[in-house]
Amino acid sequence: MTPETHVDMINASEKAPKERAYVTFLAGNGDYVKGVVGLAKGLRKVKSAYPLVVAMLPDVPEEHREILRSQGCIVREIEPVHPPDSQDAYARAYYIINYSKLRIWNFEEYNKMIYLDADIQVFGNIDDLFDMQDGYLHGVLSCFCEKIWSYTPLYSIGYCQYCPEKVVWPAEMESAPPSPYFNAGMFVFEPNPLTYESLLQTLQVTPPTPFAEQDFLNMFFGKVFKPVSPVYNLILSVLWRHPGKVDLESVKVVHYCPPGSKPWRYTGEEPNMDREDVKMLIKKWWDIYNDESLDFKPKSPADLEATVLESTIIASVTEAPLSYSPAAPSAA
Amino acid sequence: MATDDFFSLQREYWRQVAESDGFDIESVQIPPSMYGRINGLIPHNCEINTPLPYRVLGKHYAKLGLHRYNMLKGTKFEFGRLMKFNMLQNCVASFYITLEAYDYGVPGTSHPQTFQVRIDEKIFGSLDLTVSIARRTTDEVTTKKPFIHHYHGGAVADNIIFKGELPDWPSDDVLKDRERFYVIMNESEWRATAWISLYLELVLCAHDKFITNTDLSRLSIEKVAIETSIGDALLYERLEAKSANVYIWFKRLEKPRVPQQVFVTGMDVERKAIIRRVMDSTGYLTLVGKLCGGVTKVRQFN
Repeated sequence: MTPETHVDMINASEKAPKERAYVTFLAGNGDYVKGVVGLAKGLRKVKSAYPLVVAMLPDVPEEHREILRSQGCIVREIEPVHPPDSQDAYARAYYIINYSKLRIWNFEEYNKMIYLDADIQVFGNIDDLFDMQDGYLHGVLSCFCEKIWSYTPLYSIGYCQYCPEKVVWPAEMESAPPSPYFNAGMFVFEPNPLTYESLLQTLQVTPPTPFAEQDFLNMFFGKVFKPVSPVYNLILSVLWRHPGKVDLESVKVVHYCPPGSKPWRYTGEEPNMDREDVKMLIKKWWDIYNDESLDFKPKSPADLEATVLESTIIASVTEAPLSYSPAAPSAA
Repeated sequence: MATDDFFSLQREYWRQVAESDGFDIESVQIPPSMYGRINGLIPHNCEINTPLPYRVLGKHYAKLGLHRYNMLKGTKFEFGRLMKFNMLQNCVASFYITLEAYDYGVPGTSHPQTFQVRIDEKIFGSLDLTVSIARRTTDEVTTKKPFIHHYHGGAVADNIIFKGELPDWPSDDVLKDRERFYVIMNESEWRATAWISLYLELVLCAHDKFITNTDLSRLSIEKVAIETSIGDALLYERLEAKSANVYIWFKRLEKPRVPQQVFVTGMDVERKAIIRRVMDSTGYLTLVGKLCGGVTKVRQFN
């Protein structure tokens, strides 16, 4: 008999498994690199035991790569993923880029990863998510209340997963409410080349839909999806769409996805951006970003020398002192 | 678009799909403005040279449907060709397959007959599925059921031996229990039973949906044992049992690919697979299988 070996669970705070990591996605030469820097420093602030892998497209410039390496990130270049051609399929034209996220399923040196969008900040340790049950994709349910969802009939009837009891599902629909739908800005998954191949193969025969890779991942993993608490991915709009539904003090992950909420572009001029709780969360993000004590500390003199050199690159890229001011233009 | 219109179209879509139980959907119309929004079945006409996902798997699922039909009807249909292959996009999918098959059990008949086979997967990356439909298009459907595009049930065994998790590989001593096991030592006996190699190939296809025909053609089955609950029975009775565990020793699978497991590599490595078949009064056939001997990827620590 050749028994299958099972690994006993070990407290992640004791030793960090090498096969676990956080991962984010970066494309282009724009200012999202600041989001990744902020995320890297945020993970350090909460003393995460795991590294941050940055899956980036070839168009990310070397200067940005060096910035990320200097912050201790593991840089991994990936090739773009091209969905079937379609005209006007997407809610936002740039959503098509996000299909390239599917490449992270091919990071087979890791057996479990937590994906975080670059416009996410971590304010509490979330390493416990790595211990979620294997064989499933874990994520937070989406809120359907923002105008961007007006593409769907759910928006017009006021149905939202955050308060399904609020709207009595119309009997004339003659169907059950839709399946759970997760926000693809944060999820726990298991890289595997077999899953990866299935994803790409299935993508090529799946018509594009308004939310691009988020729709696709929801379809593909729909039968193996398990929701986790919204504290692991607070979509900022939940603060005004569902007040009281989430205790801000307990929130561990904030997703700055509504228009005007990216901290590095924040002006306070977009709708709801002048709320006090939004301002507070913007400030918290900047506090982390500007905190030099959270910069990556090399472990050897050679690394230190490299970091000093790369700090010069950081300074040249930012072009201006970093500061938070809700009334001032973005530092970008 | 108005909400009512959207849901009306969605209901109409599924009503049309249900008319053929999901098999003949090439004429089901979706308005251009709704394209991509209705999560439905992806149709494939295999007679047109379009990309077909899981081509090897598709043929094996078709053969499995014929296997069920043959077991229930006592026929000897063999796979001819795929005609249609409709599927859900989920990683745990349902497949609606239309195929042609030839009946080699009836001398003088050379014309193919058309079959419809529905396969509902239960787990991703491992063999666990149910054949919920396997019929000729000319067969009369006497028990029309509401259409559900992904069935979550399966056949239920009437003996505890065939319920729950698959068993561990039996020891040599246990295999000597003739009441439980029939070990097929004669190669010609298991070669004459085509579904034995089909079961093995299905296990491998389920683990690795992109395994090639070349990989499968190299496989060499060394020994087969069948476990049943019908006592000291003849081989043909075991082979036809509604519930059975099939244990297969084989070689020439160089690099098994199983999610989150690692295996010793090599063409001459002896490998083992267990496949459980359950059929019940519903006529459903459920197969559950696994490749044995893998080691769960061991975590390394800093």
